[in-house]
Amino acid sequence: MGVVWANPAALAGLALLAVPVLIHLLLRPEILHRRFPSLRFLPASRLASARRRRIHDWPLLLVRLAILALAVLALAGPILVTPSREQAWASQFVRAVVVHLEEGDAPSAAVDRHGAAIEEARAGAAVSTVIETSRLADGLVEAAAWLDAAPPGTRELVVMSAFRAGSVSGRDLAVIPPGAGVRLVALPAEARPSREVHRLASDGAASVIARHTLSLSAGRPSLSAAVARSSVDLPVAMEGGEADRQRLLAAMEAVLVEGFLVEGDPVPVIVAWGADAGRAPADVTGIGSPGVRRAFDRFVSAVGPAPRASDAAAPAPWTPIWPGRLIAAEQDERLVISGQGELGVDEALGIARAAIRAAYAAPQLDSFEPRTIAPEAREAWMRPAARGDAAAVARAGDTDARVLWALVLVLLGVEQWMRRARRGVAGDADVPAEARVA
Amino acid sequence: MTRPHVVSPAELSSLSDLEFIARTTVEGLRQGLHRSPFHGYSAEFAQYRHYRPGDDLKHVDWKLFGRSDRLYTRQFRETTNLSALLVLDASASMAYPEAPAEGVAPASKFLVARAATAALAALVIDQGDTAGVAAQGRDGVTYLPSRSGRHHLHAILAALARLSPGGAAPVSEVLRHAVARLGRRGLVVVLSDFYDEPASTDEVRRLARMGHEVVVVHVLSPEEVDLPETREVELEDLESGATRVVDPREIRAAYRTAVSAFERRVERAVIAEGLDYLSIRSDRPLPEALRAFLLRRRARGAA
Repeated sequence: MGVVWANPAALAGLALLAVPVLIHLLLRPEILHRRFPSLRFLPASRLASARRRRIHDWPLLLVRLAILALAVLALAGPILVTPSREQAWASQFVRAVVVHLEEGDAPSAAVDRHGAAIEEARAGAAVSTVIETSRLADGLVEAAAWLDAAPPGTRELVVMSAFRAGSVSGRDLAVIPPGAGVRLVALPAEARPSREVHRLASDGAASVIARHTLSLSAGRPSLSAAVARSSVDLPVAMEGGEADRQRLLAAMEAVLVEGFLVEGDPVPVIVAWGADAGRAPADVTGIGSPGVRRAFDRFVSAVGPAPRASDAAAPAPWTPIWPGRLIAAEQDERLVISGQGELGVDEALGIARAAIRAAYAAPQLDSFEPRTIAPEAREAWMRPAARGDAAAVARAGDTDARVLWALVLVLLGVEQWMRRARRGVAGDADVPAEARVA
Repeated sequence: MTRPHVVSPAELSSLSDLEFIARTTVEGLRQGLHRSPFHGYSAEFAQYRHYRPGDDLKHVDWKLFGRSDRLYTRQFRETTNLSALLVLDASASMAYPEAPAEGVAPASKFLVARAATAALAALVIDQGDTAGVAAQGRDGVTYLPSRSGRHHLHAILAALARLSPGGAAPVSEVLRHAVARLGRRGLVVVLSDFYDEPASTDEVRRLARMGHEVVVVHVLSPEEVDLPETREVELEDLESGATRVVDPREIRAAYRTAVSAFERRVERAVIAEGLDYLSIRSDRPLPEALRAFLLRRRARGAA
């Protein structure tokens, strides 16, 4: 049997025990004054030492020390580890089941479809939850948070997905708390029906959006011929120095040749390049709508890290993207991107591609990915669960501090009573017994 | 005539069946309860002596003459009245514990000693003897010569009622000055805490050797015998005003020993002179203590 501390750093607070001792040593009790018939028989030798610096009230000091010590110990979060508790912690399974919804799945559809597998995954768990998500990374974050807050026990995460290529990565799984087991259960990758997609591309001098049908053919995605085309104004505007603007426009034309699958309404994006780009446009506030905020995230994700490292900061409200060279800010319904310095061809292409990605959201096409993550890779991500132990209890915050706090409350009452009793003695000392009765 | 409130009627009535009789011979002017040093012709037969010319023939025992053929004169013990002086210590040290609220039963040593003084004065006067009071309190010296009568008793009670403790006059001084005014041998009762011992006990011894019968009533409060039950305290001497800080918990044992030795010293000094010693605690009922003391005296007197 032992004790594990959830917050051992708090034990340093035990040093505070010196404070009441010092207070008791330094503060002499208020001395009573009484008239007395004669001092003749008071032993003179003891009088000199009567007021020496010493602890005058040991019981009160001990109670105060106990209060302080118990409070510090309670803050440190003690967990009494008994054999029965260890057994209980180890035998209790806490399990989060993350079910990956495929493109087009309605919520709970996956649960209906894979009900038996899900129930099997939950079997034997004292506490469990099922998290349905269309994006595994988000589902894993949610599951990690649930496991952190779950009662102590042996914690496990079960991910049920078709595990199409790109649906999850090792970085996504890193959010799972250490000690929690990870089990990946592959669901059958079902063939998806074809769906309609829109593709942005250039058609000579103009930009057009064409409607296509995406389907899987012999395990490979394929686009049909354009069904309908319509000219659109490119939502990306280029500003700044003429040479840089021309370079960006050329890069934009080049990337539009590749074509982009797009979805939804575009967010206007302004790309300004030049020495004064940080100041243009002047009315940048850094506050934008949720759609612009998503566009900002898409731009950051698409443009990637800076080609050359720098630690330059950006003036508010700009956010450095490539510190010292490329900054971005939200502005009402627009996303403003500003850059300066020499603009290389590759950089111009990257910025143009990222600007398109920021302006248009890409359709979710995971279910059209015919490849799946290799079983070896999935095996590498799996790990057994650490047995539920006191550390898990500590993480869950389920400590035995309540008992200590209760003791602290009781002792506070005792301390209050002792102080009142001493004040009562001191107050009564100067009053004759008869007057007290009267 | 109502008596000033220095002693309760209950306390007085509890002593009404007793007498305060002198154990030694006292000189009185009137015939009374107490033995006189002068032999005379009274009702109480004392002894025979050979007839001397001039003796009253009516006191010659003729029957004895018939039997022995010698003339003997019968002698009788003459009794006289008692002259008592009650010396009350009214110094500041007697005002302990501090004076209680008005109307509350006596608690300080002074109130207890004053009640005892009043009770004894009433007893002496009620039995036809004379009593006087001497004290020196906050308002100076109070002295009422030894007289008899209800009016004088009332005067004594009124004087005691006016008396309040204060000052630092030692009881030995009060004794010396009061007894100097006594014209003849009598009974002197001293009620004090005797903190000026040995001066006070020396004075008692001197009085005893002058032929006075002295009764010592030693009045102490339980708090000063045992120290107050408290933590560290600054004690101020009621008479000198000097202060000392003490921790009663530390010094209690030594203090008890010293006070106990003090009490024994006073008692031994008194008893060594063949005098009566009465110890009174201010928290104990006064009538019982006085009654027990008077009964003891009467028993010894009868013996």
